[in-house]
Amino acid sequence: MGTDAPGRVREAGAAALSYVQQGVIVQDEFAKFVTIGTTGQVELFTPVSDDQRIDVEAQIKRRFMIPLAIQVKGSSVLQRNHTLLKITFDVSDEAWVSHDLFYYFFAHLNPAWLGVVDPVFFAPSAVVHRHADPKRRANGHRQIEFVASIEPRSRDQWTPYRLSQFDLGTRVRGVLEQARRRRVQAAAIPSPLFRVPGVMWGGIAPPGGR
Amino acid sequence: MARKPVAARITDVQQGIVTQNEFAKLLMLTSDGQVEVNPPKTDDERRDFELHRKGRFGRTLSLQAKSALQLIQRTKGRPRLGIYIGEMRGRPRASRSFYYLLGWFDPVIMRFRDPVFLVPSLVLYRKAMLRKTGRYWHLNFNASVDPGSRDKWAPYQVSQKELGRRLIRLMDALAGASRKR
Repeated sequence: MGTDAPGRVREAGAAALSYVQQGVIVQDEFAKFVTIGTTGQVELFTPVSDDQRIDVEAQIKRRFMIPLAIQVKGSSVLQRNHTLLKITFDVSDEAWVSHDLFYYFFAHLNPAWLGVVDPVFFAPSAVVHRHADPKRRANGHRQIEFVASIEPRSRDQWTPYRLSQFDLGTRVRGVLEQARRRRVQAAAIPSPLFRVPGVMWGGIAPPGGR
Repeated sequence: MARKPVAARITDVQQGIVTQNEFAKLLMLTSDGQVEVNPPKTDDERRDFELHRKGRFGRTLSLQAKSALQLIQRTKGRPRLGIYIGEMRGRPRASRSFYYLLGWFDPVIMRFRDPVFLVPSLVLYRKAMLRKTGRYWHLNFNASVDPGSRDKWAPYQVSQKELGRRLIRLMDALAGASRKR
């Protein structure tokens, strides 16, 4: 384990992984937690094209279910002596959509533990977007800084959205079922969401379907 | 009737995707990002990944991942990892640069358990009794997961943390052999 800046602790192996590799790993971890955590009842669709736009086939499937979009964000670095997970990212105007069916997943990828470790965070986009820096960056994008304590006893603003990876599937399913109860329609999803890079779509499979 | 373990109810397709991704993760993390893991666009040749050292061109190592969600518990002896590979229409091709990666993915912890097995296709087809029944070829991999085991699969046991380095050594050896020819 090495330190690459005062107060920043980098896990062993993290330095060698590219950001692309880290992103792929955290996204796959999310898919694993949800697939196993819901015993395969929530299906996930990812874009396959290089420009990371949503695959058309996924949108066809959407007709049979209420979809949920999730933006996955991970970091292999912890701060303040392994107590804080800090993830900073830009959001373009196109991706700036706060919606009940758009969530963020934040996680710490610990290379020494060969994967994402507890706790993870699953928060609605509206809540996450409230933490955006009011000033825009030079490229016109807005910047969001997610800083959450991973201490088990912490009581910060992200505590309500903190959970174990083993409970993530249940939480995702809960959000989908709540949306169904509230009759949130797929048509109500703002179209820009379908063009957000890195967004994964999930939905509850129809009864009897796989 | 005994209830099936909850996670065992995921479909074979879901199991395949989850465990392939898990192996890919292990390869990237345990090689310090030095192994590039490329899945095929089509899955026609029963190879899940083509691997190469980052920044290098030339020979690749092909990998087929296989998993089980539970061990076989016999009345006597320790549990074993049993993986049936079947429904192969043609005789599977073996090569020095084609390996199988086999492991027990425990749904309870959502990870593989040590050890996993990295077996050359040449060895697997010979020792796992590759045979043809009717129209299809199939084989049975059955190995002890005891680290102290001395069965025929013991030489191919590898801990997850060692996996990346082991593969890098293999790729370097293959590249060296190609240059000598």
